Amino acid sequence: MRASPPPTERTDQQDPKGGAGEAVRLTVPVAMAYIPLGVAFGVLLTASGINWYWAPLSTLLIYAGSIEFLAVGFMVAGLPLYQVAFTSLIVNFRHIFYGLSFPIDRLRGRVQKVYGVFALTDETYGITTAGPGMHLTGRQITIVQVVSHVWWFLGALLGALLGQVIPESVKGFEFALTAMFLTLAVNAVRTSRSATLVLLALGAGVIGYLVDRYVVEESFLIVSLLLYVAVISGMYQKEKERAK
Amino acid sequence: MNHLSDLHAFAVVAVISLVTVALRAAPFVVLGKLAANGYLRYLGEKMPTGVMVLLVAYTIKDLDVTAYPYGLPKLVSLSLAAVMYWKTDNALLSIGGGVALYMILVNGVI
Repeated sequence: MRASPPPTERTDQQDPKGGAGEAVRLTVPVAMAYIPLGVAFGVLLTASGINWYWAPLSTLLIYAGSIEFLAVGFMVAGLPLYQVAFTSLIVNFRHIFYGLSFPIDRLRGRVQKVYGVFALTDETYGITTAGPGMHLTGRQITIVQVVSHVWWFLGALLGALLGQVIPESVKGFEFALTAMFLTLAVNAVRTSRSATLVLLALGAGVIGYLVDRYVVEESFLIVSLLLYVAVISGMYQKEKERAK
Repeated sequence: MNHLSDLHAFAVVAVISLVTVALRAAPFVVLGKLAANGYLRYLGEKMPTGVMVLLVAYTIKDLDVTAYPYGLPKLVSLSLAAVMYWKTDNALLSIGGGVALYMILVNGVI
């Protein structure tokens, strides 16, 4: 490893411009993912028969990738709101840990802090807590968040407009959702390195499928996710007892 | 043909937004108590794998494997995307490849 000078704590005072260029550069990889995914999201939404403006509106009001793709399905299925709330809670549960290491004390003022928390995405978290973005000033962090938000918004807007000109007879955009979750699943399996968790999830999925098909319509997610959480909660209890 | 209700769309977006913001704000509100909670940490570690597998399953649960084309376009495209992602580690390329194959299959071949 190359010897490098110790990272100095930078403040807005030392660098009045706050290195806006550096902050924008850090969002380039984010843009490479957000723009195509945003386009896919916008096209999917309009192709599903939802008014096009919900794509850009959703990116402004939610700003949390995968759940917004799922929202399209929820709108089409007319899913009850308690199920929407529950599914968002489970799917976005990981966000509960991001605040623990996000450098919020560098953000000044109420507006900057509130936006910082609102826009605390996987990517913002990743950029500000590891690698070259670890020592950004508060102003730079806000720039990273706003610029990334703009990429996501523009992608969705472009997709929503494209969706209007693509003939209705062209099918298959919804597969983007399956493929996106697949890559996230591969990432998760690589991190957890656990075939047991995959098998447990598949088991919960089979039961969820049967309940969805034969007992209560549109109950797949709530049943299978609850089952999965219940089983891993049981595993936690067992491990705790063993540790005593 | 915009037949889906704006009211329900708004309600869905609002509910998701509120839940997401609540999750993101939680650690600042309860100040570090979450980090000390072993159960929540355990859930945080074990949840993503199952949640993502179940989300993939959710998007293909209505697949009909008993009649032509036996769900093959989805299953074949999904396998392609999986192999591509496993080999290249490039999410965009794999999603793009999977979607392209799927759209060729459902619009052109079948």
